[in-house]
Amino acid sequence: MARTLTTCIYCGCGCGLYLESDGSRIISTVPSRNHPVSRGSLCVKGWNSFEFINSRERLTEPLIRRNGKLVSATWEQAVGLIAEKFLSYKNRYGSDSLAFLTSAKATNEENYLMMKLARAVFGTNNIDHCARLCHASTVAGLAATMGSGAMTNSVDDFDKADCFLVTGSDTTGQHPLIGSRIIKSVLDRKAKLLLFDPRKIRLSKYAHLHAQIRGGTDAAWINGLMHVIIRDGLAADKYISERTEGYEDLAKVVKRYPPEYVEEVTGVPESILVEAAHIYAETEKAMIVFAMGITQHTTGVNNVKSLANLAMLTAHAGFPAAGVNPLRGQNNVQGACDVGGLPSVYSGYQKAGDPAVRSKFKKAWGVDFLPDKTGLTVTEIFAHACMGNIKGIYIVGENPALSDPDLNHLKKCLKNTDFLVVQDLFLTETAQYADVVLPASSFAEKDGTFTSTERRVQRIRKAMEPAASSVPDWKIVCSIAKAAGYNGMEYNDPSEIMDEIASVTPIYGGITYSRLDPFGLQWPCPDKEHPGTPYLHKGKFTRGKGLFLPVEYIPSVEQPDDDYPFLMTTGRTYWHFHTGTMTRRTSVLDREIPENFVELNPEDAKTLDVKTGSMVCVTSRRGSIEVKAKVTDRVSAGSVFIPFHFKESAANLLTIREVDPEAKIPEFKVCAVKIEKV
Amino acid sequence: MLYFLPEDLLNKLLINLQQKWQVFVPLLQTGGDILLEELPEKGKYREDCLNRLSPGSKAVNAQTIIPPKEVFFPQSEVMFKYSSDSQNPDQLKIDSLKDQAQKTNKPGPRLLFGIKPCDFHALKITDNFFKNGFEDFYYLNKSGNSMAIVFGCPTPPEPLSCFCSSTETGPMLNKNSGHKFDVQFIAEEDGYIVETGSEKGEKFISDNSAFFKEPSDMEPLEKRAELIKSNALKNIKLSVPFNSAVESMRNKDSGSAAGGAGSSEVENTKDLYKSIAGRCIYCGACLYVCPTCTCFNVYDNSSLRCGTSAITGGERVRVWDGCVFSGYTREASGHNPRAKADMRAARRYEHKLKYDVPVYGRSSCVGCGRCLTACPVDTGMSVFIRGITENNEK
Repeated sequence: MARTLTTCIYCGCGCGLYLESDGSRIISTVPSRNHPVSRGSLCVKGWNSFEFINSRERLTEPLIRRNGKLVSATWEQAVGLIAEKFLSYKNRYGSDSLAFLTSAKATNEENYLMMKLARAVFGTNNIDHCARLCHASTVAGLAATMGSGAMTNSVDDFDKADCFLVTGSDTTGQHPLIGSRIIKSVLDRKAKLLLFDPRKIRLSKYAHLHAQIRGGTDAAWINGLMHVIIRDGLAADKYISERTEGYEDLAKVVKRYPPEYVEEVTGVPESILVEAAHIYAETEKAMIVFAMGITQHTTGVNNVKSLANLAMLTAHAGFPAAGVNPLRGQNNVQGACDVGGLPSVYSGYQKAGDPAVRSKFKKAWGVDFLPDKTGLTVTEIFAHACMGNIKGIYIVGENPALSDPDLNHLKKCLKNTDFLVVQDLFLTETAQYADVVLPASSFAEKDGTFTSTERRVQRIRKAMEPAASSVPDWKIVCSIAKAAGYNGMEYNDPSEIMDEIASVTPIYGGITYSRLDPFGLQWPCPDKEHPGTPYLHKGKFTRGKGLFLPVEYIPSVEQPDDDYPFLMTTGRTYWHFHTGTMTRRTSVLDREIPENFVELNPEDAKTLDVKTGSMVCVTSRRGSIEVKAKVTDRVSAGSVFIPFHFKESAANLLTIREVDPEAKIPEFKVCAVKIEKV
Repeated sequence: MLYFLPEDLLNKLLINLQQKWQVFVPLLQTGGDILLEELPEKGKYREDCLNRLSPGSKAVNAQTIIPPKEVFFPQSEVMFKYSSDSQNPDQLKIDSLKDQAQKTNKPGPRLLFGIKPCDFHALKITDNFFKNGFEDFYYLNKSGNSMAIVFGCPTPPEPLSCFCSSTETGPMLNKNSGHKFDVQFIAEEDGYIVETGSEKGEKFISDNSAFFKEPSDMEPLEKRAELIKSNALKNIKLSVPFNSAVESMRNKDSGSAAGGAGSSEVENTKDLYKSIAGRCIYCGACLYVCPTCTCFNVYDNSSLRCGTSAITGGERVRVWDGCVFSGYTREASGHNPRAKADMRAARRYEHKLKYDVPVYGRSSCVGCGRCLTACPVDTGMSVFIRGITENNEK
């Protein structure tokens, strides 16, 4: 019985917990009372985060596909084959015939090594990860307006703010330990919650007002708020003139969004819009909180820019308890972006196109060549695999065969990939397409760091030896680099990798393992004496002056029509996480919601003659699933919601591949479907 | 009887106790938290643990995040393993449960050293649950011949959420109050007054007589112990009308939230359950950290032949479970008698304050306050008790 302090593997809250090992398995999870985020609490997923580790469905050995079947292999065989194949593609078709998907579930050190593998060893910028599917729009939108694509406040600020504008975030479900702080602030401190969400979610019950917007009309209502704020003289003139630029352009655009027009487009009544504008603008400590409901649109970047405009217009950025707060969905999606798991930037968001950056990394990594051309994104990688331009794909800890849009197309792409490597804990839906499957160790079986949504870089610590013959991701990546003939990737311990990250990454410059005990540091942390940064843009924006980038409302790509009359949106439930590889292997969680459902408004249910529990067939232009109906007023008439956790009836068979032109994030939140009773 | 243990002998005593016992002690963890752990049998790691015990300081005074029930009833445990028979692949062979337990269990009964009086009372309730009616092999196999060395609380542990004087389970054990115990340590500046409450306790002292001094004059020691105990009571910060809450629950119809309309008192109680459910985020913490919650779920962790649904082997596991989860009461048909969160909240509080009273002779809330400490939305038993007793005054 020994306890190890570590960090939760689920959402971006970054809760601190202890895992208890009996030597061969993890037998319990306990929250830390002293941890600044968890403070003695966890959500139900956190409390049960030990169970999937012990699952007997864990991969126990490397597998290689022979004659169409995955069969046992040794590590030497598997690693050797990967190096050989990837080098041969590189030689024959060029470096850009390879692509690497790194993992928001893996550590910072592992993500850094993955980008080093892609760039230094194989010479391509084709490296990306699932941030493409969640907050790519945030990284682009906030970097352009403010200079830094991360949450500006800290989790503790939720205890201090007097107003929360929450949009596109089912906070109690997806970030429960932040959601609970909103609940307490509203009920116990009388903070005001302004909710803009197409669905009635748990937070609706606490909201001062809930604007049940039409899905995909975000730019319109945000412009509407700004219209009212300027019209009613609530703009922060002094702040705007001292700290921002581009105001005139913004004022011109939002003038075209009077409340009557906004009501017509979004369905938000004028009175609600005006009241929300006044409360938000007139409250000093007001935080904007957003997630996938804003970002997963073909207008995702515009939506984020628009929220940044709103915050700057009212002097709500650059202070404690006032800011723009994207809630990151995965335990380390912030970190995977921070350390360069993206096709356009190296660690610390240093541009791959900048020769000075490349020459710095060439020197640090001891290589003569680093690619200058921006690489492909997740969505593009698969499209190119379908076209035959991408020959080899190496996927670590991701499950696109369930999480990516338009799965029928995606599966075609996976089949069409010459050589697919998947490294995971389980034989996921994606791994079933692989040519080589590598068994990775879980978060309980290795050391490293995760970076939470509040930019807190914190340790995970090894609580037990790797299960079966699994190996931690960082070691696997190093062995592939070595097998491919690169000698610059040898480390005794992940702390050495972090030292290397710190030496080439200004925002992580002051981070060392010894400084991270016990509960981490918040970046930017540029030097060894720096105490970390609880909130961004103090005094001035990271980019200097905050830049207003006005946006126009553009409708979603696929609107409901006569053939496909319902607007479908996808998302998650409180009880499951993403594609369910972990939560569906956790008894209490899978018992709570063992099967998929579609939320259907009572009015629509009546027309369709469907009750809760009836099977219905949901069909889009791309695919069709059978699923049980759940009749509820959580969705408004004409809209339906389906969670994407379930392989048995995957919601992403229906979703659309169209992406935001800048961030390349797919429009998971809006597509058109029809529903038939089975 | 009273004895005295000098501070500097505490670690030596613990090492000596390991000859007979598996010793569990509260240890300071990396994050500054306190959790019960088994003291390693030897080596540098044991030294490290003894340092983390910090005698007389934080580890002993602070509350463990998880109550001692986990020593006998861990959050998860393997009940038995099975494997497919190579002759008859369709048949599963189950390895004998007792053999397995004996193989994995270390010899020697378990000694819980340094647990709090409230947790000591809770163990009597979990013992009772797992022993009477149905004998639970897994629990009893670990709790058999065990013993608890209780450390009285001179001051309530941080954070201040416990209310043991209201539940009459602390802050110190008192023979006068009818508390039955074996050994209680009462901390002083340079050591511990050690109070025995039973023959078993006396035997514990005589087995370790090299460490305990019997005073030549008992009176001053008695006086000191009395003074510390009465000060401890004065130091209690949180007190709630516990008995009136129990009394009021006794007089209420069962399933208040589920039941029909009634008096304004019933309506108020329903509102209270609704307000608790209105905050609840269903994390399960109040059950997990409750020293007397004993519910568990049982599931099979099977390995399958690659690419098939054929079971090649596996293990049956039990894991903590509880009444805040909808799936806990959902029936096979899909019907759920406790479908709504307020009905499940009612179940929890009725269980603790009402249904358990005739079963155990007392409420199964021992006032440790962990439910409040672990709750992400600041709800717990003391909040409920205040609510229900205020309701009655309305």
